[in-house]
Amino acid sequence: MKILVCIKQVPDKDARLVLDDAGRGIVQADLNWEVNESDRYAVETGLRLKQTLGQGEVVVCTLGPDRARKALNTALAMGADRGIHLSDPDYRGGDPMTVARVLAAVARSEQAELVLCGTRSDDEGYGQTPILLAGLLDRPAVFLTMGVEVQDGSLKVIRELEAGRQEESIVPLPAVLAIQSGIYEVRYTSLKGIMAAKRKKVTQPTPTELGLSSDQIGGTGQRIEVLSMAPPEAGGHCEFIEADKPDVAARELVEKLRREAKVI
Amino acid sequence: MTDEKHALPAPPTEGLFLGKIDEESIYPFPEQDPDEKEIADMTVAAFREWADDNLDSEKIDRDQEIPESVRRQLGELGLLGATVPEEYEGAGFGTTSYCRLVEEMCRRDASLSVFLGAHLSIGAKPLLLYGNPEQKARYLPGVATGETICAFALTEPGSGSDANAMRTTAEWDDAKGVFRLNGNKIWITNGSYAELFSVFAKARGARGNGPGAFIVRRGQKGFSNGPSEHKLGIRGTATTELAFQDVEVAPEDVIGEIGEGFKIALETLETGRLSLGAGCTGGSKECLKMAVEHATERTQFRKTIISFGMIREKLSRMAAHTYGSESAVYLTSGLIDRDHRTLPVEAGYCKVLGSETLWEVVNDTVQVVGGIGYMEEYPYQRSLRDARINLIFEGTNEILRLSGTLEALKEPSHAVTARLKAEKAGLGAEGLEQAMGAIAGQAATVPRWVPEVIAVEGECFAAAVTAFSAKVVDVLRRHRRRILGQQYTLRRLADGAIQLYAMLAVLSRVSTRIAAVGEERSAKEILLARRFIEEAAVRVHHEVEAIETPRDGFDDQLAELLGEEGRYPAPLF
Ligand SMILES: Cc1cc2nc3c(=O)[nH]c(=O)nc-3n(C[C@H](O)[C@H](O)[C@H](O)COP(=O)(O)OP(=O)(O)OC[C@H]3O[C@@H](n4cnc5c(N)ncnc54)[C@H](O)[C@@H]3O)c2cc1C
Repeated sequence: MKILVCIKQVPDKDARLVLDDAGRGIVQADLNWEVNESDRYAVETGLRLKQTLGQGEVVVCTLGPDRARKALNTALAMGADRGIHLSDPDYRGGDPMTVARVLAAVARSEQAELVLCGTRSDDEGYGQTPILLAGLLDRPAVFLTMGVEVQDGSLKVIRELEAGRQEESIVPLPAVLAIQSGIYEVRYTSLKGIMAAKRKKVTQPTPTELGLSSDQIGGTGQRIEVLSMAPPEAGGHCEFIEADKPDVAARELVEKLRREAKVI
Repeated sequence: MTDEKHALPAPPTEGLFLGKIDEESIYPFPEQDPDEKEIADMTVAAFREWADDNLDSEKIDRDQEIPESVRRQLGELGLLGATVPEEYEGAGFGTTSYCRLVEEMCRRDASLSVFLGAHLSIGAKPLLLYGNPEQKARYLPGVATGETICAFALTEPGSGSDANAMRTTAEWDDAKGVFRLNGNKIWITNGSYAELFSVFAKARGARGNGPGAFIVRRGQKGFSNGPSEHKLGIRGTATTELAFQDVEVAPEDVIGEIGEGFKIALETLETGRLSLGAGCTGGSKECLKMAVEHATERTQFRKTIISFGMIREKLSRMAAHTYGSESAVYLTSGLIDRDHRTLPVEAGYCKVLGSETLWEVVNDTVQVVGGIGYMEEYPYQRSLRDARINLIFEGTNEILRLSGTLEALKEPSHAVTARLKAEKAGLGAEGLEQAMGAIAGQAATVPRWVPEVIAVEGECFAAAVTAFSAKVVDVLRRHRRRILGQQYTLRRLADGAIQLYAMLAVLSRVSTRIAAVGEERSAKEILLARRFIEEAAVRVHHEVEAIETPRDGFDDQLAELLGEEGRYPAPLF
């Protein structure tokens, strides 16, 4: 089975983000970058499927400038077989739709049976790309995938629902899955893998090679316009929970976190 | 080979002693090859990720053991083969990459980095440096995977800094065609579980007399190790005694030649030291982070304590000194990689600077956090305990000050001798000038690449070099060969040279950065550089101005007195 894994490079979790002068983006110089978290789980899923099937190819693909090559190398070091770097300046800018168009073109040209993505990116967080991609390819899609197995040429997929419930379904191939973080342990890249990654092939197809015209992609094809960005206002609210017993206090805390703060 | 050697620029410290800054060879600040850098980036990131999920440093410290599973996982990650060449299944890391790995490891857990260092920086190093192809093929693949953990066995009860005094022998047994090793080693890191020991012993008999380096494997008859010592810090490491009773070593397991053992041991330590300096830099960064976190959160007198001048001074000093020591380490590693050379003096200086910076930083950290710094359940006390060893092992800081500085004094002392001869021969001014040869004899100039924004710091540096090198000439003229025994003076020269070297590294680094990305994006580094250079210059002048003081005589007399009386000599009551 040929598996295409789409990954994105995002600023690392500890990065101090600074708004640019126009107030519509962040200053990118001097940032450290890493592979988006749920995308790492997508790579891990691809590698595990290949392992259990005992055959197949895992191709990783990213859309981004030169620095994004490092994200590909990380996935290659984990064990992916080959990389595709969509680095042409015409791809840049854009919104989830233009990105999905490019990825769909790659999936078609690769004839990938299974496309894996993370659920959402840790930076922009639209969470639309995998679904748009599935729509463009006219394939079934599963969001928030918590588990996947191959069963008689189809996929048995577990999907996360609200309140810890799960749904199990059979999804025919070809398909698109958006993988949720934390579904199992992602392997560490070993130094051997890192060295081997240097020798793996990475191609850089142009829009023309993928049969895309410039008005469909990048800044030109984009429909969503960001007007402004702002950091959240710091809230200075503090509340003490008074209770005699710790389990009572804990229950109240959970309740407040759920109902008032809406963080769990 | 010789030609290549000749083409190399002089080691950077040499110019500092001669008063001539070799500005071309250390600018731009060496940059890692992009491919190598990326591999190092990914390796450090992989280690970090693994450590986040798996490393429990508090437990390692409490149990006084790095668990077997942790050692195995480090092997699986490939980290235990970082510097083993690729042809022997390792990753072939250069010096900078390896320093970066040790830095990150030490930042997380000092026991781990000492474990790695004993295995790779010194344990396997004799094989890497002097092993023949058969030995390398036999042992290195196991070393690279971590199946064969290594240890370096030099120290003995009667032989610490004075390695030449070792008593372990390797008697050649003609009948059996083997060396018989007898003796004891102490404080050998990884002694409990290493599979391969690089053992130094004095050979006797038909195969030659003199120190040799021998490979001994666990399980060999007559070899045993003692229990792991209980230590102040780096408690996770297994430090043990080793005993050799008629351990038979085949000639194939002699590394290098009989007679070369001492040289092999020294060279091993010389190259291993730099990464120790890098590790200390990592430790300093971690302490700084902990101290800043506390200082921004802790409120007293209704203010966060970071607003108080005495706390600010400490934090700022910690950051600036860390920057200085980091710059010195990576200038040195970068030059080693760029020019394919060794820089033993600079590496030793980096070890001294790194370890003393860390010690000072950790001390300040404990002060900044106050009482909790003294509590067992917080990590600060562990950092304090772990940091102390770095001033002692892999060459004590005294020995490194001494050996590095005597080495660096060689060139200037030749020049001074020539000058003195010329004076005796009654040569005219021109002849004298010529005789001084290598020595500048005039004020050092600011390197041409120092940009305007840090011109003041450039001047500071040049003035410090001028004052320092003038004092070098003065001291050599007065003491000539007797300088070898003038430890008060040598200590001050060493401290001056260490600060100058760090200033040079800082200047090169910040100038390179400004040239690459402009002043605005270099603002943080400019600030650190200014803070560092301002203080370092004061330290250099302080050493130089008091190169010999009446105190030296008092110190001699007091030490004599103390030696005789054996205790505080003036009880008040
Ligand atoms: C935790 C730990 C791990 C170690 N691991 C290893 C290992 O793996 N392998 C190994 O071989 N060794 C190891 N050692 C030994 C270590 O390298 C020695 O302790 C070190 O070299 C100093 O020797 P010493 O302790 O005998 O001190 P000494 O040499 O007795 O020195 C005592 C003091 O005198 C000073 N001094 C000595 N000579 C001079 C001089 N000429 N001028 C001025 N001052 C001088 C020293 O600087 C020091 O301050 C380890 C030690 C420790 C504590």
